[in-house]
Formats: sequence, C-alpha cells, structure tokens
Amino acid sequence: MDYFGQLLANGLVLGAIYALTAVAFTLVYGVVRLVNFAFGELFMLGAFLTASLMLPEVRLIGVAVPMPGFSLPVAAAGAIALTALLGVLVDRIAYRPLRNAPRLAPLITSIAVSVVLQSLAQTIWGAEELRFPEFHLATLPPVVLFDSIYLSVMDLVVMATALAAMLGLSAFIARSSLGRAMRASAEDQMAATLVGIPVNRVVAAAFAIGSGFAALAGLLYAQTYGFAHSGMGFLPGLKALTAAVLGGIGSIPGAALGGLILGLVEALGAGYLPNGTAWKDAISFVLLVGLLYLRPQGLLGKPELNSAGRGSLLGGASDFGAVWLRAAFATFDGWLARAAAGGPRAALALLAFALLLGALVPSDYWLRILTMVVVYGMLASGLNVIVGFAGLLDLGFVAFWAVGSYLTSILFVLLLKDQFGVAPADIWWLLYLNLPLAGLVAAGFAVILGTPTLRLRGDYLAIMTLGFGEIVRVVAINWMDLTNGPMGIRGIPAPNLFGIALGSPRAQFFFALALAVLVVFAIARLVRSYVGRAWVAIREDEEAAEAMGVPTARYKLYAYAASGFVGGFVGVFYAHSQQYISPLNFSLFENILLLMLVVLGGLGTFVGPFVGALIWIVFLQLALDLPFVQAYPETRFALLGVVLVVLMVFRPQGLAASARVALTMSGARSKEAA
Amino acid sequence: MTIHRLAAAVLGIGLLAAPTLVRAEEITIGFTAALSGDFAAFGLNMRKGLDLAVEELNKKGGTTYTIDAVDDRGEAREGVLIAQRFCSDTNVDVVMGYSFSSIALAAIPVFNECKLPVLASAVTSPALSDVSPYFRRNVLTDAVQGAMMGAYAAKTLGLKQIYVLNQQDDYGIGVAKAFSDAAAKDGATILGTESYLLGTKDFRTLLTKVRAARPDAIFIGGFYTEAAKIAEQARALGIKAQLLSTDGALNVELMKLGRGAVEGMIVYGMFDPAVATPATEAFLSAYKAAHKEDPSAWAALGYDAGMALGAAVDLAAKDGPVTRESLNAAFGRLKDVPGVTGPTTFDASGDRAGALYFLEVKDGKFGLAPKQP
Repeated sequence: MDYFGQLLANGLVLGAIYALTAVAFTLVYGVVRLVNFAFGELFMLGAFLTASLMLPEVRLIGVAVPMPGFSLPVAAAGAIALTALLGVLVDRIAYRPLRNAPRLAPLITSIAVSVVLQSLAQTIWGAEELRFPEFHLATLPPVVLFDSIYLSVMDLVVMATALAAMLGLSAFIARSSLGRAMRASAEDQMAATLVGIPVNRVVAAAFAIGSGFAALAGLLYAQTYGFAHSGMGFLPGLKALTAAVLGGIGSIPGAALGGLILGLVEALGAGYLPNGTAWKDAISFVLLVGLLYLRPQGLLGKPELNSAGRGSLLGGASDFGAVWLRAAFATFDGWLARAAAGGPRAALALLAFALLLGALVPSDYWLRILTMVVVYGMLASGLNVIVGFAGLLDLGFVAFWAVGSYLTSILFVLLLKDQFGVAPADIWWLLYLNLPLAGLVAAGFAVILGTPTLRLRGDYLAIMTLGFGEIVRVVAINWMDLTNGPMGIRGIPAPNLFGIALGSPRAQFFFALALAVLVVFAIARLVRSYVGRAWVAIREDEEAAEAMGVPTARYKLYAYAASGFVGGFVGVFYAHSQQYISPLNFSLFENILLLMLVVLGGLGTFVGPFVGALIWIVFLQLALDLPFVQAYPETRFALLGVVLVVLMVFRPQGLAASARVALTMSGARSKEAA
Repeated sequence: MTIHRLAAAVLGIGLLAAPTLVRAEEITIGFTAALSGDFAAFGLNMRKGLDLAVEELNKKGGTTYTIDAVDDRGEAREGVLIAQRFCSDTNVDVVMGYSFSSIALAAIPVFNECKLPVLASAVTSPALSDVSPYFRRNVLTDAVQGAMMGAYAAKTLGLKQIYVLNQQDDYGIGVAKAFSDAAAKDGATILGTESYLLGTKDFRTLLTKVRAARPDAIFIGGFYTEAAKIAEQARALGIKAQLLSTDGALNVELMKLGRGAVEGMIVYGMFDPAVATPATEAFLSAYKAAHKEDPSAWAALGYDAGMALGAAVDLAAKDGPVTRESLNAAFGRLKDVPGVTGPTTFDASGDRAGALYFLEVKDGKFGLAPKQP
C-alpha cells in the first residue's frame, strides 16, 4: 500500500506539470492548428528566467551580472510575463508570415526556433546545469502521510498551482470576451475575421497565454527537481504534446486529463515493471499508440479534428520578401523548371556532375562529407515518398533506418562473427544480399506500423508515428541481448566487392552514389506509375480520392512499405560506411532533421531531399571554421536555426519546389505557381 | 588564416598542397569532445585543463602548440566526419579529448587508416582497450575503477546490503557490473539493479522501489547531474542509506546541484584538489587564477594529457622530425611522465595504470574519505 501510495503521489506531481505544458500546446493548436515545438524551449526559459531573477548574481555569457534576488512568486510572475512576451515575438517573426504557407512550413520553423532558443540559452547560461535557488517553503520538512508517503510542501504547492491555473484559464475562456474570440477563431478563422474579430491579435493572445503556461510548468519542474538546464525542455515538451494528443488536442480539460494520466502511467509503470525506469519513455508511447488506435481523436477531443489540417501540404507560398528576392527566386525557379522538364537528360547531367566531383575532389574529408550528403539525401528521399508524395506526415521514419542498420550489423558481427567465427571478409557478398533483405524487412515492419495509423489524419498521425519511432529507439537501447544496447555494435566491415575493399572515402562515395541512382530511379518509376498517382490523389484530397475509387488504405500501406524499404536499404549501407552504430544514431532529432531536409529542399520533388541535405551538412561543416563558432561552439546550431527560419519564411514551399513532379493538373492550385 | 582554410577547403585543394612532413616546432592538437549540447561540461572541463597545459608548454619555448577544437555535440553522426577532418588536415599531429566512448569507437577505423595518434582523457569503456595501436587514454577503465570501488565498499566500509543504480550506457553498465561483481565477492549482497537513461530528472519512482528494499547503501553508476538528483530525491523520500558514486560524479557541480543532500556521498577519482601535493600546487593555483574555480578531475586529466603530449613530442624530436608515426611511437615509449593525476605510462593496450582516491563530500567540499583501503 505504501509503495502504491508513494507512486501515486509521484505520478500526481509529474502529471500536474505535464498537464500545464499540455495546455500550452492545446491552446495554440486549437486556435491556429500548429504544433509549436518551441514550447519545450519556452518551458526551459521559464525555468532559467525564474532562477536568474531569484539569484543575487548570475553569470551570463561568462560575465557576472547582478540580479534582483526576488523570492519565488515575484520571480515567477516576472519570468512568466517575459516568456509570454517572447512567445508573442516568436509568433510574429516565425509563424505569422506563414499563415497561408504550406502546412508543414510553420512546423519546421517551430523546430528551427527550438534549436535557436536552446542554443542561445546555452550560450547565455552555459552548458552546465544551473542550481535552482532555495525557496523558504522548499526547506520545510516533508509531509509524511500514513507514515510512508513523502510529499514535500512544494509538491503540494505545484499541484495546487496547476489546478488553480487551469481552472482560471477555463473560466477565462468561458467568460471573457477575449476567451469568446478565441473560441470563435478556433471554430472558423475566416468567419471570425468576417464578424470583426481581430484574429491576429487573438492568435497573439493564445501564444502569450500558452507561453505563460509553458513557463509556469517549466519553473515548477525546475523547482521540483532542483535545476535549470538548456536541454531540459525537450523531453517534457514531447511528453506534454503526447499528453495533449492523448486528451484530445484542442481541448483544455483533455490536456489536463492527458497530463494526469501520463504522469500516473509513467510512475506506476516504472514502479511495477522490471527495470521500469529505463523503459518508462516507451510506456507512455505505447499508451499513446494504443489509445490513438482505439480512439483516434483522443479522450476528449472532437472527432472532426482528426482530419487533414487546413491547407495543402504543398500548396501556397510566402507573401513575404523584397522584390529583388522574389525576382531572384523567379529566375532560379525558371532554371529549375526547365531542368525538371529536361527529365532524364537533366538527371544524367546531374549524375555526371556528381561523378566528376567524386573523381576530382582530392580531400578525403570532403569526400566523407559528400558521402554523408548522399546518404542523408537518400534517407530523406525515402521519407519524401510518404510525406511528399502520399502526404502522410511521418515522424517515425528513423525506425526503418534503424532496422536496416541493425539487421546487417547483427548478422555480420553479433551472429556470424561472434557466434560462428566467420570472418566478415569471407562473406562480403552478404552485404549485397542484406541490402534488399533489410529493405523487405523494414517494409514489412512499416506495414505493421502503418496499419494502426490508417484511421488517423494530419497531426494525430504524426504524433502516432513519432511514438513508434521512440518505441523502437528505447527497445534498441534496452534489449541488450539483441542489439548490444547503448554499447552499440562495432567492427562492422567496410563494403567489399569480390575481395576488393571499398573502404576508402572515395570508393564509399561512389558506392553511395550508385545506391542513390537506384533509389531515385526506383522512386521516380514508382511515383510516375499508377501507384504514384494514387498517392498524389490521397495527398491532394483524401476524401475525393476515396470517392473516385482509390482504395486509400491499401495505397497508404504501399507508401509506408516503399518508404520503409528505402529506409532499410540505405540503413544497411549506413552501417557499413560508419562501421559502428549505436542507438544514438537513431534519435528523434535525426527524424526531425530528415523531415527538415525534405521540406527545405521541396516536398514531392526528386532533387529536393538532396538539396536539403547539401545545405544542412555543408553549412554545418563550413560553420566549424568560423572563428566565432570555434569560440562559442553552441552558436553553430543557433546560426543554423536562424538560416532555417529565414529560408522557410521567404521560401516555405522549399528551395527546389519548381522541380516538383507534375502529377496534378495545372491551375488546380493557382498559388503554387508563385 | 581561417578564411584561407575555408576557401581552400571549399575548393578542396588546400589540403593536398599542405606538406606531408610536419615541422617539429609546430604541433597542432585536434581537440574534439562534446562542447555544446546537454553533456558539454566534461568536454569543456577537459579543454580548460588542456589549454592550461598548452599555455605552459608554449611558455617553455621550442615547440609551439596550437589547438584546433571541433565540437561533436555528443552525436555519433559527427564522430566519423570529425575524425576524417583531422586525418585530412596534415597539420594535425595528434587528436585529444573525447567525451563519449561510442563516438571514439566510431572514429577509430578512420584514425587507423591515416595513422593519427589519439590520446583521450574521458572515455572509460573497456571496449576501447587494445582497440587500435594509435589509441591511448590517460583515464582508467570502468572495469578497473568499478572493481576498486566495489572492494572498497564491501571490505573497507563494511556495507552489506547494496542497491545498484546505473545510467543506461556503456559507462554506467560497465562500472555497475564491475562494482557489483567486486562487492559480491567481498561479501556484500546486491539487493537489485535498476538502470535509468542519461538525462533523467525524475527518480522518485525508482527510489520508491529502492526504499522498499531497505538497502544500507546505494551505488550510483553515473554522472554528477543524475547523482545529485538521486541524492536529493532520495533524502526527500526519507532514504538514509550511504550514497556511493563514481568518478562521473566527481565534479564541483555535484555540490552546487545537490547541496545538503550529497553530504556524506563517497566517490572516487584520479585527482582531487583536496589532495594537494607539491606536484599539483602549481596546477591548482594556475587553474584557479584562470577560471576562478577548483579544477575537476576532467580538467586535471586534460592537463596531464597535454603534459604527456609535451613529453612525447620531446622524445620524438630527438630522432628527427616529429611525424604522426614517430609521435605515436613516442607515446608508447613514455615512462612515468609526472602529472597531477600521478605518473603516466601507457601499456600495450593503450591504457594506463593509476591510483584512485576515495573522496567524501564534507561541508560542501570533496575531501579524502576517513577510511582509505
């Protein structure tokens, strides 16, 4: 009993914090249909600002700055206000210009804003954790219930604050005129504008309130666990998003319920399962996947929210940017469109250029970078099949990649070498067998994972696939007998052909290029076939496709399978070119990265994923040489985030958008031509 | 110069044009570690120690040392690229740093190919022993350190009922296993083992489980960030068991984060400012003057690595120009290079022998634990 009671108490504290952050996600989602990933970072800033305001002195960028030394309530109020202001600012800069842009563009800027804020926080407050200052209520002895359940006074304060804040918000939404305006905008933005509601101001208010809630949750979290850290927002942010989806995104009571359930399930699951703490992240995602399967709209959500988000995944352009910039893009577009019209000839020219590059670049370092570009380009192409052509937002793609990499590594190293003593050089041909084999296994895996997602649309689908990706990663870490756990698998042989080692950077580049030709050719054939047309029909309008007799479920599964196949196929090569893999290679961030590459380059194009990969990887490597970045290493990612925001704001449809495969009739989307 | 290199790199010609032989009077250290991201503290501390050593070596005259620092962010993807970057840059004579064993493991095939010697200071995985003739480290492996701690806990401290917690990675698993085996051999009972992921904040549930087993000691095989939270949350749940941890927790940050709760925790390490010997006096005062804080064990290891490099370069320079190959051979021939963590000699497996101090947190400071083996 006391064991259960203590777990229950632990779960309630955690649940209260998740619920508060979930409210932030749900509120903004309700009004603008945007999953604002940056809330995790606003959560973190709330904690840092509060801690800073409470201290007599803080070291900012290494310089000691005197601070007021407020007590917790005053500092918290200040931090919440500051964070709310920042939230509005972020909306103004990174989201508002994109209101009419393709649906994924603001999602990508929100990830970019996350990266910027996190890197900036690390520049300002340093890489180490900042101890959260003592507050006199926190020094009181803990409350002991039934002799065995320990709760600190602050735990009670956290729960009470969370409850009060959520009740207050519900009353505000129900009673105040701004609350009414918010509800109206959530129902229908166009109608709200027509009846004279200043929608932009309402959206700003939603961001302000949401950011305030995130900050409140962050500071309570930091106070409970005693620290503030620049990376602290990521996982709670993800959990809160999960909680919001669990409860039914858009519904405030749903967010509260979702947070509470998630907190309790995590505490009880970790407490009762063997080695539960290591598995607890998987527990919450299994719960999420299970619930979405049974009840796609979440516990208290409205069913109609489980529809494709408003606006096309691809259509629309930025109405932003100077004349000369538009002119520059127009020239670029014209050039690109001509190249795309050239079809095979343009592709061959590009290939010839890549071959020439591979033959002439003298530096092994740059050859490795180019290999990386090709590998990420191929992976992003695989993701592009499902996101860009079939229009299904998939955040779990990285799992297929992991399946391929692990399959070949386990076969070569753990099974044949360690168990049977077969030298990898003797079985070089196995690699060529593994390429299609891993593709098929990953494709099968993708179909298994894809089946339960068939009922889901839009952002629900994204969250469910995200859950799958995370489950696979946690399994890879914890199932040590199979994967060797976090130690990873090393000694994976470099590619080899008839005894000729292909381990040199140059050989690997050509190897990667050959695979890329296969991948792109296969995808291009597929997309231009009947299957591809069905995918595009689903992407453009699922209901219409269904009505025209396209069996959408089947074609969605084909898309999953095709995308999984590419992931597994490339994963095999990735393992052999890196010669060492560990679960670290397959984090959620990698998946977000791949998505970013696709969107950056242009969804639904063949060349886009490679353009995105080229920009991302080459930028990161070049930035290493800037003296400023050498002095402040964390600014490299901040810079990258800024570049991404700017690119998305000026070019939300992706750089190579005009090379998009023309599978829709022109004039179907007038704006796309922009 | 940077602009030059940038341009050269883009064209891909600069690196070809560079001479293959490196002049003895200029040594470039390729330094890589997680310098940003969640786990930057270890790398930044190593860097501070290494900077101090380089400054000292440069003051001595003769050979000049420069550092080319590259951040790996703790991401495996970057490991191979960075290794190739150093390999292709013929100015780089030696690579130092490394925060994560997994990243070092990923990079080693590349270094093998270009025969670039590596001297790491914070990677403790036993998998790195004997992994390459070009890889060395001046930190003891988890297996050795954990076993010493296990024997110390069971024999010297006489603890009988121990609960083991470890961070779910090669470091935590390795050290916890070595600890458990050694402690069990000396008569202690391991009540249970639980692992947690690096970066976990909430340990209450884990500790509720631990509390139910009523241990008289808890061993935390992990870093200070989690050790401080475990200590604080354990005390808040009314657990009074003796806390034991590792060199991962040996960091002044432990007391800043854990405050009163870490009082009495016993950790081990190869260096501690409290154990000032004449040899460490100069390092301590120089470090304090530069950074206004006490050096951590990682700073000390970074410093010693720099000093070992200095000795190896001097040794190699005796037989002609210093190349990667001759420097690598010189590392193997080093004998008892004095340092703040004790003398450095590398054995054939690339590891180093050394002593451990057992330290106890007392009044917010690390001090020698009253009982030493």
